[in-house]
Amino acid sequence: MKRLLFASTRENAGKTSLIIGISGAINKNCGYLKPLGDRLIYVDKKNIDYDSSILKKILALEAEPENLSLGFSYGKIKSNYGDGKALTEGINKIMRNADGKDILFIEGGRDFVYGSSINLDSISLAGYIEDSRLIFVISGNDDTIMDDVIFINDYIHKKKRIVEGVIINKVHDTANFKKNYRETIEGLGIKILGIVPFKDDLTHLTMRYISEKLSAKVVAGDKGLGNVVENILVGAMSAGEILNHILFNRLHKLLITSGDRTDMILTAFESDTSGIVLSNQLLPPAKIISMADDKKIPILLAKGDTFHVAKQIDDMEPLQTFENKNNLRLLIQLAEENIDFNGLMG
Amino acid sequence: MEKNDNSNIKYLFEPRSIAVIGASKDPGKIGHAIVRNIISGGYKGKIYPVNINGGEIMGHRIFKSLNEIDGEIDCASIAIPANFAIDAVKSCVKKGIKHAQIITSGFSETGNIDKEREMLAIAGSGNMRILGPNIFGLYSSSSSLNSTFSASKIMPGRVAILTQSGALGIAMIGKTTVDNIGLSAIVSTGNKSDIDESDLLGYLMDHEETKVVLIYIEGVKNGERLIETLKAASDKKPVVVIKSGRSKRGAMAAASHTGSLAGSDSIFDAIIKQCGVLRAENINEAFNWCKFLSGSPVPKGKRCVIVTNGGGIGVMATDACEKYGIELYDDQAVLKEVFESAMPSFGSSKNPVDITGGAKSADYRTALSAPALSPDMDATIALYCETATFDSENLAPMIKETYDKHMARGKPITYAIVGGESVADSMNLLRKEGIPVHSDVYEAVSSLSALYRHKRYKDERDRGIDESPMDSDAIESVIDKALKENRQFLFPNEGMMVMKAVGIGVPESRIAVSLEDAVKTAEEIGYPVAMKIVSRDILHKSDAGGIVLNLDNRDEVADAYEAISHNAKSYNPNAKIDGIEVCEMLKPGVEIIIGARRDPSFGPVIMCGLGGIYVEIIKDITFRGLPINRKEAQAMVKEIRSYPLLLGARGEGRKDIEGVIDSIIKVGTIIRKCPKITDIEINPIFVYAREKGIKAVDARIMITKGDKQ
Repeated sequence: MKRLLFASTRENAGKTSLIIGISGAINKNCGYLKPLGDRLIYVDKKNIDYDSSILKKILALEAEPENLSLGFSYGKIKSNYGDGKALTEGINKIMRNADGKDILFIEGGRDFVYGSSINLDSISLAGYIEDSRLIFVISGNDDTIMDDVIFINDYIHKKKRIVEGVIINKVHDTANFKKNYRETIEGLGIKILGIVPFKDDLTHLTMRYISEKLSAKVVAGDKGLGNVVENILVGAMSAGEILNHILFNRLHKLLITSGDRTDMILTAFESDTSGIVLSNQLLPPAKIISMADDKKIPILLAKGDTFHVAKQIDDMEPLQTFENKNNLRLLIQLAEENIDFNGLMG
Repeated sequence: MEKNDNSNIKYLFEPRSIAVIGASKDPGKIGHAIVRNIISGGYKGKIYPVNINGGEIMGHRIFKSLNEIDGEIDCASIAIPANFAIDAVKSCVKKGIKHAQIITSGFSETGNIDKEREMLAIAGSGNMRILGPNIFGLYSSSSSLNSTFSASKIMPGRVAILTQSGALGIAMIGKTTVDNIGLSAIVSTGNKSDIDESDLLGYLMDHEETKVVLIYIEGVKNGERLIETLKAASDKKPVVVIKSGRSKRGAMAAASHTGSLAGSDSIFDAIIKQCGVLRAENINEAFNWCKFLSGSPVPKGKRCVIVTNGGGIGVMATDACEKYGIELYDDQAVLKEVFESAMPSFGSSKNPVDITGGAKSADYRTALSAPALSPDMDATIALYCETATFDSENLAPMIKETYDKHMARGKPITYAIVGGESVADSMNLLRKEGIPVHSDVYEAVSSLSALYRHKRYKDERDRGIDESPMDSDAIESVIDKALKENRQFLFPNEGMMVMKAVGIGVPESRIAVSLEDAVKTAEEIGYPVAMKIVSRDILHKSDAGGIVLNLDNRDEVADAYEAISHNAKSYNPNAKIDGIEVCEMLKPGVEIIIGARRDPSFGPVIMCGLGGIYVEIIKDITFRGLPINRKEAQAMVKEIRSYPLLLGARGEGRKDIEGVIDSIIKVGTIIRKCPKITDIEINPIFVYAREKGIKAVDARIMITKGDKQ
């Protein structure tokens, strides 16, 4: 069984997305582990990692998501796996969930140092997991990518010789990047296992994801919860003014407004709207709810004022969802077109 | 200045001499009308008209100033423009006058608060009491003093009226004449800068000629004192109140649910009921009650009988009795025996007793004399529908005779007569004689009901105060800690400590500051447990994902601890987390709310009602002013519409009602004894079966640095 440990120097480098894409592209029996959970969701009185939950579905894993991680909080992990021996046993225990798989993807912490104080940072994990191949996923602008590559080379690769290669992710201009930096990186002795272009589609949220993250009540249009949001607009002006707003006339928009703005909601119904989030928990009239159901435009009732709700949505990490099949297909396609599978598997 | 001093206020009603400052020879001036009314009203004391121009009015010398008057003056009526009123008050103080009726307007009612305060301070320096300003004056039958500027003649009688509205007061004077209601006093309180309803009631409650007091109030000043005076007055005679308007403060000011529910009018309504005061909806109802209460004897018992010549009107009266809480006498054997001789064979002796449409005045005379004479009847409701066969010329004499029979035996009777011209003529005739005849059944029954309610209050009143022992030091310590942290509220666990200090059952809970601590605490408390975030920066815990319920084992507790910590940090990264509360998960019971707060008008008040998350929607709550006793607390519980739930609905057993009553007393004790607590709201309190007790699930307590008592 190949054991591929995906690490990153910075948060949101795209480790999970790449694992989804690569696992879909290689057509093998794949397993997944994330020893140190960091995207906590509380479901049925259990803590599970969001990434583990989506990978369980995509890879059709038998193990439950809570058994793919050791835990989240350092305190709990320390309490349960205080010494090195217990931690090794804990990792071996969750590793058993991958028995019989061709390839095991192991996802490291959210960044390079995350988990260091409890020996669950990516470098430490590489030490615990025998025969694991440490691959760094790097994303950012050209300068930060190069900073990370040099750092990895100087402080990890040169010293421990354990980095199998890097995947440069979310690159806006791949041709230019290859032209300007490929030679330099390879000159350092760091293998480039892929240069994956940035795709705007992958940053889009679905209405279901927004409703879950806001803990909002879906008051109408639940059949449209899979709608993808590409543009977000706060409806604070008059209905007449909003018709001239540049964002209002774009496709797949999310409108954030107050529940008493019936005029705004009706105007949104007449254009391409993926969903509406109502702030202040103000319910619109029954007629509006009925229209939203007919048009399959979800209306979410959120707590807090419009500013608070808009900020929450703006702060949302664009994580992949199982229901967004277009994105899942795109991830596979990106992997197929840009990843060096031979180099990756060694 | 000492307030509510009977001997002092007496000279407001019974002055031996009165000066009218602003007395005018011009009949169009208020100063003229006042002098005219005093003279024509037959005032026996000395009258001193005062006007800078001098002269004479209606045979009396007009003094140019108070200095020209040799004798002592008890009272002054000031009816000059506001600009000169303060100088007039100064001269009154200099003269040693005891009371001033300030007719003049243009003070606090127009925003001129400073001028009113200045005037009050000047009066206070000479120990002179002020009625008004902005009043129409005063009438007192004891001294035959009519120092109002009303155009109507006032008929002496047994009803005293206190009114905050001048215009309405003058209109009421006219209406009393039309309705044949005699007055023992009518006083306009105006801006109530000094003398208020409490002062005036202090005199009227002991005033023998006054049998009923009617008060029209728009706003309450010094409500706590008013409560005490109303209670004392209601012990002696009926007090009827009409209140309009709402207090400026009231519900909006309060942060807790209790506050938002406590619209000041609902508090006012509950509190005056607690004081035995009868609240009328409108002037007509108030006048009907006053007329009836001032002329009717108090019934000795609850046995009331309806006598009618029409089935329909009898049924209406029965409905009205149920609405107004009058019990109808139901002993068939006695009813048959008493009314048999007064009924045709096809009549009914069941209550309502139907003597049928064929009844003549003689039949009525017999039928209505029967309850007056019977030792088994205490009050009568007499109904008459005009019929073609009735000898209408005998209607008024029959009513007069049966009324007199009832009065002679100390039994109240109220009449409702419905018909055409001859009925209207009889009604006018009878009303002039002060006989309570109504054109509507509900009016008649409502008046009798007012009499019964007053009697019930007097019979059942209990001035005792019940309090609960409590650990004051423990409560003080919790409050002091919160105040040191600049908080104006207590954390939930602190609220529970207060509950414990007074002996209200609470779920067991502790604050955990680590995961191990949370697991250990849960194991000690026993499963299932609930967990809640404790942070001053996160008040809406559920919004922040800070509450998890029904945790059944250590793994679930550990995950919940982790999740709550994570959610709290996501919700407010800068929030100071004081820990996570682990508490016993309670079995559901009947959900009750008990709250208490310091009302800006009435002081400490307590509330009880159906609790839970829909408390504001259902609004099944009741209030009382504090202090109260167990009997009053029990009445509160019985008053709520959901009381049957506590008695045990749908086959369930009776709940621990005594526990609820205890908790009301305990919460009342806390708010009275802890001046730094401004609001308490326990919602919900789970009420279990009688032997299982009650448990407070959540207690919100607001505090203040200042002493709000």
